[in-house]
Amino acid sequence: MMRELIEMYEYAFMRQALVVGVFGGGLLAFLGVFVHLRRIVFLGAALPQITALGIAAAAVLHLPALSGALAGGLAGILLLSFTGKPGHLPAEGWIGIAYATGGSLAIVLMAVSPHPDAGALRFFTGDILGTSRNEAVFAVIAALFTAVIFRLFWSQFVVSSFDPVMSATLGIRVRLWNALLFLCLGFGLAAVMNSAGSMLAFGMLIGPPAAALMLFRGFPAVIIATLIFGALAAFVGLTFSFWFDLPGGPAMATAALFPVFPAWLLHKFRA
Amino acid sequence: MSSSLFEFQNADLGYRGNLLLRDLSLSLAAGDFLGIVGPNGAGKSTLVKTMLGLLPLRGGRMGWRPERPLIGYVPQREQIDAIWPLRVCDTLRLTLSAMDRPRLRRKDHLEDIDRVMRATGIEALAHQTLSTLSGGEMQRLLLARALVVRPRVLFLDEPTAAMDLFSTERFMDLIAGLHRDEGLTVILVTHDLQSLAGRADTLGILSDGVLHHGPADEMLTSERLTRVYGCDVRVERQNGTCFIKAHAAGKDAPT
Repeated sequence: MMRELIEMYEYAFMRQALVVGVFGGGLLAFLGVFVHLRRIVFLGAALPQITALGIAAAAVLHLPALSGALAGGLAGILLLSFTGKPGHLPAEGWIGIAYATGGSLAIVLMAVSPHPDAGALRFFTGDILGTSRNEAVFAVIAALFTAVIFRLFWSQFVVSSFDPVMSATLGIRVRLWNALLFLCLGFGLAAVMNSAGSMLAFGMLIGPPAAALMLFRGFPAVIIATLIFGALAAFVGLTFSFWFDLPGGPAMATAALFPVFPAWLLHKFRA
Repeated sequence: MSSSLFEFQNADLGYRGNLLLRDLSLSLAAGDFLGIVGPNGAGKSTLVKTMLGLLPLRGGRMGWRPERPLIGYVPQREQIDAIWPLRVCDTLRLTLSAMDRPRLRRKDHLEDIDRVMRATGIEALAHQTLSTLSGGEMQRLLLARALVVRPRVLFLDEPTAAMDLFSTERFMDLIAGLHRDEGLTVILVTHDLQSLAGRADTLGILSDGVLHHGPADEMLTSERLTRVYGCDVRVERQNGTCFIKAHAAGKDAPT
């Protein structure tokens, strides 16, 4: 079995897919802890769809898909940041509109694109095996950038997310830390969406942190467990997809969501 | 402006197109204990947010002298999300670390944390996570978090809401002790006029877009409260303790 595993990962496309899964997926899983705790999971569902729209727009304009993913992700974050303002429609309504518009318009754009790009359709099918070396490098850079930023400013990120009003009274720059958090989220989404599709992006964002939050009570344990679940999901999902000829992205997403159910049972049992 | 710590001069407060308080003038001295009461929607939160600089002034002038001091803020307990996997000591440590000022040494952090946990009586809870705290314990943690930064002014927004009578009294005694012993300037917003009696130096009552304010002893009279609230309010003093009762619709109703 070990020999088969080694042989499997001798292929460059497998290693690149694994790198995107571990680094890009791990990055989204880590940021997913904040997404859960800030209660913005719906936002996490809508953003991949808007990122998909960016990739589709890039295909129409004959631009690199990665630039579309980045532009889509960041534009989506900027647009959705206005949904918290008072208005006639609740924030969830706007997020739902963004979700539906992003997904549907992305398909329409791909259908009418004068530059057919079968590769760009990966954001729906989640075929991570087509990942290029550059995409893998981008995922590593995005993950390292986020790791450094959070290592340096961990307390600012936590305190400003936990209680923004109190933080503002102490002179903590809440908007700056929010912007940085969402910038990292935009990088993570671009890295994963472009290679493996919205299903893996959302699965990683939600599954590993949900399981960790149910299993552990302290922040360090939650973060470590989230990263382990995320990395394991990438490895197990990709390996199974190779052995059983499954689509890589959805296999990884399934593996990312799998720990949620035993964690929920354990959580219930302990309660 | 005079030498007071904080002043409103003919200030208009509220949101764009919806002024809640007009022509407000108020002066607060260092070391004062200002209690602010008023019914729902009277503008208590708007007043606090404006003083904290979270809402812009809509008219008039407002200022801290000589400059804005370090402010400790105790929010309403409901604003705190206990799903965060934070322990009591982490909450205090992270608050100190996150402040934009020259970083203190770790030893100083620990001393400050130890000091406020003792002052608020939460030493035994240091390693408990937020989700395991009772309402009263959470409120004392929020107070400790506000105090850990060594503020000169302490803002409390309805700190005793949904607390039982015993916890309310204990918490209010704690605040009064901090004000008395450490000279903290305290601004406390509450529904509960009774809890301020005998503790606040100055009392502000928000009613119909106006802040009626003055020394607490002068404000806490039957005549004054009846005029402000527009219903029959009786203030009785027994053995130095003040009791306030409002008569609404022909029935006694505790305030």
